[in-house]
Amino acid sequence: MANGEGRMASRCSDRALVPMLCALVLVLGCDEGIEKYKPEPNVYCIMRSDRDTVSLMAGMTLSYSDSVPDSNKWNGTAGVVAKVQHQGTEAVFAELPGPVGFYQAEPLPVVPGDSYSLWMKYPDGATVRGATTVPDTFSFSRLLVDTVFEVQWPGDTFVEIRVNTAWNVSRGASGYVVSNDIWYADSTESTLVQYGPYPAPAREDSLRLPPFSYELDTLSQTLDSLPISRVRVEIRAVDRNYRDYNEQQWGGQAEPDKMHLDGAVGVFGSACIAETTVRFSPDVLTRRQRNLQ
Amino acid sequence: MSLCLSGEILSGFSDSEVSLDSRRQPGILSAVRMSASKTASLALLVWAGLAASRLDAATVSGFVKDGRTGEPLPFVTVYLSDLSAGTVSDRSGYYVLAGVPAGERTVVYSMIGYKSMEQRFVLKRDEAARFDARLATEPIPVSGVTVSAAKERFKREVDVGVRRLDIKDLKMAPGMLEQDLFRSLQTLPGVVAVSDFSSALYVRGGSPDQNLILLDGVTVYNPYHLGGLFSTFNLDAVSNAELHAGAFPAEYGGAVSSVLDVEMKQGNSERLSGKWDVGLLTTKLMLEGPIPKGSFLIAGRRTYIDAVTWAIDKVVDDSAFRVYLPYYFYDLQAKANFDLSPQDRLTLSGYSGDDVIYIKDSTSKMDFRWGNYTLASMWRHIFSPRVLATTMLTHGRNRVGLTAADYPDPGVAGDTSESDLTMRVSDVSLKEDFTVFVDSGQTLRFGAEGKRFDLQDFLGQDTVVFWNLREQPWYAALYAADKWRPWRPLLINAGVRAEYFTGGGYFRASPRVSAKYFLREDLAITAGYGLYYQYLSIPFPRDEMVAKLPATFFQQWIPASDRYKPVSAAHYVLGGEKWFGDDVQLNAEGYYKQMDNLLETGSMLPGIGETPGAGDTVKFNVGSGWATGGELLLRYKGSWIGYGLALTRRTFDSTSFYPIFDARHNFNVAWTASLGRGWNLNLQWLFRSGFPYTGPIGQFQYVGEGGSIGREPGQEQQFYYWMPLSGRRGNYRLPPYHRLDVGVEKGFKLFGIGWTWYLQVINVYAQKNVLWYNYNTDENGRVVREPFTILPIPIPSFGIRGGF
Repeated sequence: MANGEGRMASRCSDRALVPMLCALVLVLGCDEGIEKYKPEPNVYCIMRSDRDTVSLMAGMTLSYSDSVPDSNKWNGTAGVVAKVQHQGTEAVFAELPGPVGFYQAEPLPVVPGDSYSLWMKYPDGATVRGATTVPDTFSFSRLLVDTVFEVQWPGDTFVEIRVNTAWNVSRGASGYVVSNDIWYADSTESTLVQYGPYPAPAREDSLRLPPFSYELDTLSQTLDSLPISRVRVEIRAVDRNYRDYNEQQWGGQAEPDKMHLDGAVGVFGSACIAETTVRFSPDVLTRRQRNLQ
Repeated sequence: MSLCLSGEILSGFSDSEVSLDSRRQPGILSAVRMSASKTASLALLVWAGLAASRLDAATVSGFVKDGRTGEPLPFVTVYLSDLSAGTVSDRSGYYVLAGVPAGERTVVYSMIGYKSMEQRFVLKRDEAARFDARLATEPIPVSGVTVSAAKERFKREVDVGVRRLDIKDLKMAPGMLEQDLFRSLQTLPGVVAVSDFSSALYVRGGSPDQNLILLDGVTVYNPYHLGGLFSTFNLDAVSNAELHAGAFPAEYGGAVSSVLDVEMKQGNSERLSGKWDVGLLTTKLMLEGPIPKGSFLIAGRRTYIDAVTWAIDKVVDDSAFRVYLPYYFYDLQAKANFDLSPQDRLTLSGYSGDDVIYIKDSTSKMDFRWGNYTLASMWRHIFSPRVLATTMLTHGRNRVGLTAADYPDPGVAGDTSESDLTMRVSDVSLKEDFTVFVDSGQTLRFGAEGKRFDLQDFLGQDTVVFWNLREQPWYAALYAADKWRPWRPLLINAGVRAEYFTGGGYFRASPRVSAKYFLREDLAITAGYGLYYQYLSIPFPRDEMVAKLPATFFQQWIPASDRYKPVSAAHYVLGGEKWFGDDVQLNAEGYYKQMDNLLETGSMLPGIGETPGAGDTVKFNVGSGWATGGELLLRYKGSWIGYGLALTRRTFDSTSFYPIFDARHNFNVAWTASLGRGWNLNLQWLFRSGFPYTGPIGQFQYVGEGGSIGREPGQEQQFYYWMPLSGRRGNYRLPPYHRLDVGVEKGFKLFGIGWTWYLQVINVYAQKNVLWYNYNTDENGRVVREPFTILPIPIPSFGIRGGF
C-alpha cells in the first residue's frame, strides 16, 4: 500500500513536471512589453572656449505617433528656468525674444580644464541636470596647403585643394571636430567643410589628419588664373558629451544612452577651440591635373 | 596474467576490467626512451613515459580504414573474440589493444555499414603487433555485436556540447544555391544566424568571431564567400565536421564561444575516383586517388555568375539592358598523404579561396578580392603503439584587398590616381601534440603551440597614407588533458591550458573539465566547465543594421593590448544523453556562459593618422555579457528535431540589453528520407522567435551646425532635423522567423556512372521574414515603419552530380 502510494505520488510529480517545465519555458521566453514613452525635454547647450556667453535651447521631443511640426523651426519650450554653475559662480539664463525656446546666460568665462554644471526646470516641473569639463588648450603643429588639383569631370571643372593639418593633443578631449572655410581672394563668401568628430587618441602624441580635399565650386577660372585665396581651419577639441551628440547624426536613430543628461535628451557639452588662417597661392603649390571619368 | 581493458564494448559494465601488471613497465619505458632520442621535447616525453608506466608490453595496434576509399574509420569496435574485451578506434582510426595475453588470438573489427572482419594473431609476450584493418562496406548491418559509431562514441567519449554532422547527410540537405556546412549547423539548437543571407554562426550567445574555425588544424579567420552567403568549405572534400558548442577541451585555444573542427578527406588510397557537381551558379570538381606510398585529393569550386550575366548581355545586346555582374568566387582544396614508414605519415594540405570583383576599362580599374588560404604540413609519428605524436607547421591568412585606379589621360603625363585598401590577418604556427593511450579507458593528450600573428590594415591614396597599422604579436600555449575512467560508470576529461600573448603581455591559465556519468548503459548525465580566452576579436558592430549586413569582408581583427584585455568566458554545462536502441539519440543540455572584455564598435568613424600606431585612436566599447539556455536534440540517423531556449544579455556603457542575436526560442526539424528507387527527400523547417531590435519610441530634434555659405567665419549656422529617438537597446522584437526548405534528388546510372540530379527550394511557402524595419516620414509628417525582407520568394536551384 505504501509502495502504491509512493508510485502514485511519483506519477503525479511526473505529470506536474511537464506543465511546470512548459510554464518555465513560456515565462523565460516571454517578450517584454512595448516600451511606453512620454515626450521629454530636449536640450542643446555647448560651451565654447572662444566665447564668454553661453546659449541654450530648450525644447521637447515628440512621441512616436506625433506628426512632425515644421522641421525648420526649433520645437522650443518657453518659461524654462536654467542656470549654469562654475566654481561657486552661477550664471542664470534669460529667455531671448523671438523664436520660442532660445536662452542666453549672463557673461561667464569658459575656462579650458574647468568643470561646469547645468540645472534646468521646465514649466511642467521636469528638472534636467548635466555636467561638462572643458578640454584643455592645444595648438596647431602644422597647417600646410600642399597640393592643388585642377579636376576635370565630364562637363565640369573644379579645383581641389589639399590641406595638411596636425595639432597637439588636448587633455580631456574625447574627439575633435574640424571645420574649414575657404575663400577666393576677394570674396566674402566661403565654402564650409566640416569633418569629424574624430575620436581622441589614447596616447600623448600629435594628431594628424589626412590631408583634406576641398572641391571649390565650378570655376570660371582655370588653375593658372586662380587668385590668391585663404583657408581658415578651426579645430574643436570636444568633450565626451559633445562628441557623442555629434555622432548621433550618423546613425538612423538618436540614442538617449549616449546623451549624458539627467532628465532630458540632447547635449550639455563643451569645446576648446584652436583656429588659424593660411593664405595660399596656386603659383607656389605643387600642381597636378586629374581627369575623373 | 591480467588485462587492462575495460570490456564495456561487449558487455556494458562487465567485470572484465582488471588490474595492471607491474611487469609491463620496462618494455614501454624502453620504448619511450628510444623514442625520446627522436624528439627535442624531452620534458614532454618524460611525462609521457611516466604516464605510460602503467602500460603493458603485448599490444595489437593499427588503423581501421574504409576498404573502398582508405579513409580512416573512427569509433570502430575492435575486440578480442575469445576474451570479451576490446576498444574502439579514435578519430584518426587508430586503435590499441594492450595487455593481450600471449597465444593465438582473434581480433574482430566491426561497425554498422561495414562487414565485420576477423584477424588471427599468434602473439608472443611483449610483442607489439601492428595491423591496419580495411573494412568492406555492407549495406545491411549485422545484428548483435555491430554498433553504430555514434553509439560507440557515446560510450567512450565525454562529449559535452559536441554536435557531429554526417557529411553524407549534409550533401542531401537543401541549400541556398548549394549545400553548405554552416547553414546545416544553423539547424542545430543553440546555433543561429541573424539573416537569410548570412551563414555566420552565433553559438550559444557568442558572436561569430568567437568561434574557432579549424580546417585540418589551421585557423580560418573569415570562412565565408559572397559576404556570408556561403561558407568556404567544399563538402566534397570534407570528411568530418564537429562543433564543440561549449566546455570544449584543453587542446583548443584562442576562442571563447565554440570550436568547429573540420577535417579534409585523406583521399582515396585504393583507386582513382572523381566527383562533379554542376549547379545553377556553381560547379564543383573533386579528384582523389592513390600515389606511391599514399593518397591525394584535389577539389575545386567556382561560381559563374560573371560568365552567365556576361553571356546574357551578349545575347540581348542592348545597351539599355545590362546585367553583367563581374563577381565570382573560387576555392581549391588539396591534400596529399605519404606513409614514409609504418610509423610515420606526412600530410600536406592546403586551401585557397577568393571572392573577386574585377572591373577594368580604358580609364579605370578596380580589383577587389577577399579570401583565405591555409597551408598545413603534419607529421604523425608513432613512437610506440601507445604513444603518438603529431607535429604541425601551419600558415593561415585572410585578407581583403581593394585597388582602384584612374588611368592617365593619354595626353597628360603623371595623371594617375590609385587607392589601396588592405586588411590582413595571418599566422604561422608550430604545434606539437602527443597522445598516450594508457589503457582503453585512459588517454593522455598534451602539447605545445607557438604562433606568430601578423595583422595589417592599410588605406592610402597616391602618396598619402590614411592609416597603416601593423602588429605582430606572439602567442604561446601549453596544454595537457587526461581522459580516464576512474570508476566504471564515470568518464572524466580534465585538463589545463596555459597561454601567453605578447600584445599586452597576458598570461592566462584555463582549467577545463568535463565528465559523463552512466546511470544506465544507454543513459548518461554530463557536466562540463571551462575557462577560455581569446586574444584576437572583431568588435561587434553597435549599429544593428551593420551587424546584419552580409559584408563580412571588412571585419577588422583587434589584438589584445594594454588597452584591451583578452576576451574571456567561463562555460558551465549540464546535460544528459539517452539512447533508444542503436539509432535514436536524445540529448539535453543546459548551459551558462559568462563573458568579459567584449568589444563593440563605439563609432562608425575610422581612425586617423599617417603613421603606424596612430590608428589606435579608434576606441571600442568594452563590456560584458552572459548567455544561458537549454537545448533538446532528438536524432535518428541523419534526421533530427531540435529545440533551444536561450537568453543572452550584453552590457556596454552601463546599459544592459538583449543583443540582436538573442534567439529566445529556436525549433528546427531536419528530416532525411530515402523513398526508394533512388529517390531521397530532405526537409528543413526552422522556427525561432523574433530577434530583438532597437526601435524608436519617440522623435528627437537634432541640432546641426555649419553647412552654410555667406556667413562670417566662426559663426556657425544651426539647422534642425527630426530623427527617430530610439528606446532602450533591444526594446522590440521582430516577428517570429520560420522557413521551410525542401530538397529532392534521384540517383540513376548512365554509361556505367552513378549520377544524381537534384532540385532544392529554399523558403518554399514564401515567408516574408523581416530582417529589419526602415523608418520613414510620410506625407503627414508621421513616422511609418516598413519591413525589409531579404528572401520574400521561394528560391529554387537545381543541378546534377556524378562520380566514378
